[in-house]
Amino acid sequence: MFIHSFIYRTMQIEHPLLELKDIVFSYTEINGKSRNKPLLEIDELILCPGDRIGVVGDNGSGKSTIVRIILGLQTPKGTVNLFGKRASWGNHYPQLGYIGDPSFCPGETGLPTGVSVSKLLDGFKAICNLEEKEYRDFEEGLGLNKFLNKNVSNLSNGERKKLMIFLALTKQPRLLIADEATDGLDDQSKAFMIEKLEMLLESSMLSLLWISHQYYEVARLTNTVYKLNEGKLISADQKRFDCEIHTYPEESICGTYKNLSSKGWLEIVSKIYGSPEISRFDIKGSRVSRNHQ
Amino acid sequence: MKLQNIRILIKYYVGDISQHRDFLLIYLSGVLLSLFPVGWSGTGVTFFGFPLELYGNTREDSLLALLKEFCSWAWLFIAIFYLLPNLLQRLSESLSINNTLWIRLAPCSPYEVAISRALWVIIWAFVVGMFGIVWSLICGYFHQIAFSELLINVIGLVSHILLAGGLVLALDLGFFTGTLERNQVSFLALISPVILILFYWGIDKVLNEKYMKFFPYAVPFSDGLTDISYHFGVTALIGFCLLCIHIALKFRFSRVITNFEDGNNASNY
Repeated sequence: MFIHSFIYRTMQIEHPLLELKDIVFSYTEINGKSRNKPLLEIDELILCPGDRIGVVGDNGSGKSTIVRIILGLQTPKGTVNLFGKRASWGNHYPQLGYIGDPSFCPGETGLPTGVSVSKLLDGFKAICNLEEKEYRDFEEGLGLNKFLNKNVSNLSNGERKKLMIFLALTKQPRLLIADEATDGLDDQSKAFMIEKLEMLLESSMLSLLWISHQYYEVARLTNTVYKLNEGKLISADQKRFDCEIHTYPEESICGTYKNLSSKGWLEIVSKIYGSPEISRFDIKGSRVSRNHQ
Repeated sequence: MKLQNIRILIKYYVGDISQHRDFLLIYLSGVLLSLFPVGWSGTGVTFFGFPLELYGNTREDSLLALLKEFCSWAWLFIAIFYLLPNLLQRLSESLSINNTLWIRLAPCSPYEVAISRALWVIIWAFVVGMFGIVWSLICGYFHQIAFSELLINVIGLVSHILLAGGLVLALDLGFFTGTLERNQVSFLALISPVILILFYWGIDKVLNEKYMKFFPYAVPFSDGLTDISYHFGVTALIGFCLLCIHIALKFRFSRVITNFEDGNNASNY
């Protein structure tokens, strides 16, 4: 994966999948004025084929706003290019997968309203020309059959995320943008999703922008981590370990974590201690010496 | 452009005909009400045997006036209970982030989506129009009156649907994404063909009468108004043009895909 990324970085540096340059953005306040200090000030964020970038940050730090800017739902100062073209709210991006909640307006979920899950899925499968073998596994793993007849507007947060995961991953995207993608998911679905995503990352040139407030999740799926601090993207703490974690019985936190930071480590430990099921755990770790930024 | 995509999207938007079973029942009841309870006593028109006055002097005039009034009530009923919630509000919802985001990430083009939305409106107008024509034919045959006279109100309803649907789609400019704005747009679109008659009355005396017959409006209970076939026809034409504008506006957007294997980046379709 690193080799692929290196090749594309050197050969196609002018056309990355995603490019944010000199971004300055702030929301308009209720009194109609912009805030004195911008919410986001990003000098550069470039994502090339094969890259897996993680963005961590606290609530309200502007993580979801980055996604909204990429999707063309907000227009900042600066350059936002998606698949080599300026991002626009009207363009279609069939190679882009998105899991998250754009929260553009209260109650807006990023999924259509007034239709049943089965109707939406039928339409999606037909448009993407998906064969049954391509989605059967996802349908079963995510348990979509349990809420096929529900109206999409009435889905719970977890069910909505499952549906978005299905829509984003079954079409085998080139770029996946995930904004708090595991929020609200049960343990089983979370484990299934991460396993599937890891398989996709290994078997295809899928690039990933994983945005989360959970450090351990970012460490599991990405190889470059940025922290969003006061609107600026900064290289995250370099004191990290590559870790392998096993629990008995196996839980969703089991797996290999690249660049696990101390914060991520503490999150995992609290999950282990918080789970009454886990009777034993093994951890192996080795210090990361390379510079990923 | 993939016709297959348009077909799939139309199926997604229009949905299953069985969802409108209640409409079919109401329509059938309406047809029956226009047939058997309506009669001619020799001096006046009757409804369930009750004589109704003020509907004209001759048999044909009286029956036509009564049936046109029925059609106008049906127009109002369809507009408020079917057109607004099942077409206009759903059309305006289809402009929301909820409904655009997932389709923007599916392998179809912006204009394919626009064409299927425009066809959604046209199918609606066509189906309602067909129901209206069937009603006119049945009533004309049953009561032995000129069914073409009854068609005027049907044309009016069709033009109302086209203009209202066209207005909602033409306003898909990315501004009306909030729930309140979308509801306002669909309501304004519903009443626009009707309130245009107020503008017509306002400028009727000022402008040349020769051109005023081309002023667009579509109102039920249009007995007594002149040149209504022109007004309704122009309304339908403007609605159709607005649908075309909606499609044309979508050509400024593109489907952005990248083909890494060929070394080509960012192709537009």
